[in-house]
Amino acid sequence: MTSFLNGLGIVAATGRGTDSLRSALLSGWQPPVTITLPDDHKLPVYPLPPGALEDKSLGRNVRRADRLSKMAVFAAADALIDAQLPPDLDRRRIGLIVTSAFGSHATTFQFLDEILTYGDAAVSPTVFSHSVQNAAAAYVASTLDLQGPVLTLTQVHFAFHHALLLARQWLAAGQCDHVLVGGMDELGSVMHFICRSLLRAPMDGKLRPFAFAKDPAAIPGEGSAFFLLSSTPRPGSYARLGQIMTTPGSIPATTPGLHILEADGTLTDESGYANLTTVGTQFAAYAPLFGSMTGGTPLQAGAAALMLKEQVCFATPVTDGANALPLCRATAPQPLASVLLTRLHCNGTAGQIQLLAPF
Amino acid sequence: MGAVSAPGLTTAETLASFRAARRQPGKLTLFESPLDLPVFEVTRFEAAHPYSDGVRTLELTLHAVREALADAALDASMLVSARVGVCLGTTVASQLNDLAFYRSYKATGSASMDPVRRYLKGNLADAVAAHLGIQALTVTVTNACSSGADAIAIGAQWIDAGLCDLVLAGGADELNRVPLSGFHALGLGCPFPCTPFDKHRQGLNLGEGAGVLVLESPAHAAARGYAPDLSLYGHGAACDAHHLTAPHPEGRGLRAAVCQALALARVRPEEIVFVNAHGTGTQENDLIEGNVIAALFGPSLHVLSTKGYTGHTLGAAGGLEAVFTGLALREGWLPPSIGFSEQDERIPITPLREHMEIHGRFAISTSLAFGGNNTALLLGLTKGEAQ
Repeated sequence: MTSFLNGLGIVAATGRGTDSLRSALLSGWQPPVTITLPDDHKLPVYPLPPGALEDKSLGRNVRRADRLSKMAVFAAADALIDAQLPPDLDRRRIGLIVTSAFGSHATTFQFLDEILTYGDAAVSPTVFSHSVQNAAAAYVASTLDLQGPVLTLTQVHFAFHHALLLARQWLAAGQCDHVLVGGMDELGSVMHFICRSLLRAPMDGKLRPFAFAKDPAAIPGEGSAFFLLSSTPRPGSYARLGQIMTTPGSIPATTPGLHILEADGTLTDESGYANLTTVGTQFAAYAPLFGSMTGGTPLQAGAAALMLKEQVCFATPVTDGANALPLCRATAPQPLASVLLTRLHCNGTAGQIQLLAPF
Repeated sequence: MGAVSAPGLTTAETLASFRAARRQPGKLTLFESPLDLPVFEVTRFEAAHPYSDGVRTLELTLHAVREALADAALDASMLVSARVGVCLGTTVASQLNDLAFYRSYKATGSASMDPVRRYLKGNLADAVAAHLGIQALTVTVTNACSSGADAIAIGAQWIDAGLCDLVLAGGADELNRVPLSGFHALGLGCPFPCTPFDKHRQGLNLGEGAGVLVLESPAHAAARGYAPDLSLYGHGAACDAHHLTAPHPEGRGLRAAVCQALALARVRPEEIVFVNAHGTGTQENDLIEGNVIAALFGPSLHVLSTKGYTGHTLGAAGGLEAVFTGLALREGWLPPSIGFSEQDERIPITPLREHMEIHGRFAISTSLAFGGNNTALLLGLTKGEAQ
């Protein structure tokens, strides 16, 4: 059964919304923001721009929500609006799957802080309830009145891939007419410290996805992207969902018109991406716009969906190290039948999503 | 089926506890807490898998997986040639919630990265697959207290879609200081052994454990000459879309989830022998759930909550209770809904006070969760199934 990506919402370093995404893709690489950690260490990051989570139209629903939940609500709401569904929609037939690599860590650490500061018997119930991993999904569901099945998957690797697989099943089985599927991860003070400890920042603040380095550099990012999947297309559909793989094997598809390599410095060794350069007529990598995120696939899928909808290939923002590899080096309209996204697991497994032109 | 929780390290031990209507809540020993709340710890449990790096939730899961595989007449070597899925629900095992790590960070601005590395490599479903040495479709569900039940429903969907021949599905959680403090803060912790559905119920006790089912496609089972005695005939899930921590006052999502499960299974409400309710012992859950069950099945249906024996095991609850539901169908009897004594006149169901022999094929296990999630699993005996 064919599933269509009929709506897209995104909140990331590129800003909020598809117009901001398009502008960022047109503008190309921008330097990260440098923050100073408590020990005066300088850490380059790609945070959400100021004001990205201010929205009075959703204010009442999310006024108590933590930052991660707001990221999810804003992107999911935008995806639903973008899909232009009829107002008399049966909300019982809309499902929701929210994915994350790290979940609500900032609120969890806030809760741990309450335990240490006030003691186990005097912690905040509100902070606790927001630290539960499905709080963001609960906010999305209640804000958008989604009464179908609602799931949260928290998994370092390929959570978004599995969510798409499941959403397609819900549509195929007739369990839902539409499914909002997305993912998000956030930065925060403790995560800054973790990133500083585990990742190596590039000297010049630039991610180099095509270096295929054995000790890649990373610049932590954050963001949220959601898609509305439906079993029927609409005039403004972004893409069709093709094959999805998370176990060994290869996608038995025609050569992708564009192959997006999700190398972003979150693996300790990215040399495995070099083995993928035989699959595709041209390559791109958009992590330098969003920053490094283990769960960053939804953001890069957002870029892919926009390209398929508009039949434009946006220039890959950083080409260093690519040598003779055929990259999408300049933004230009071109017939684009399919885009393949590949992210490698630290165990060598590839997670792949194939998106096809909508019509 | 495999289960490990306070009433037993195996399904056989669990059944013995159920038969004796014996429960053993006690003082917390796994970690220090100033909160004087009874908990249901898994005692006599020895870590057996060095791979698990001391992660108790993973140890509990592997213990239940081992029993489930044996119960299904499978060994790990038989998984290598099959298309396997591992779908597990959890809560605390999915969080960066290491207090020692945070204490060090807060005090010194630095901390060992070991807990973070454990998190990165310790995702529950991935870790189980790695331990078994299999390439599997792996998903870790973090849907709060319905996680285990949701994981089982996903496993069934993977099989229905032809993605897997076999799925290890269920839930697991260990006792942890974060939810213990959190539920106390919410005013939901009961200072004595919990009494689900009782008029004087005062909340929940936390517990721990793991409950795992082996789900298998009919074709794969037939090919190896295995005839299962139980089947997952239906499942349903629906969100209240109402409140972060409170159920919808009319149980909108639960009602929809149960109706979906019945419809998928093509089973009429009068064919249901019993409902193994979520039944946490909190005021709101039991009130809403009891009324929905009565509305859908009538007030005389056999109903029980096994949380009186296990405590609320959070992400494990849906997995454990699916196992308990299957065991009851297989054994032909139900234990008393321990802790229930006095009828709450606002709740039209009367949970079992005594051991009960049962006859019939189908039963439902319900799960309700933070965030308004509601999930229903409909299990049944295959005996009597139309060929």
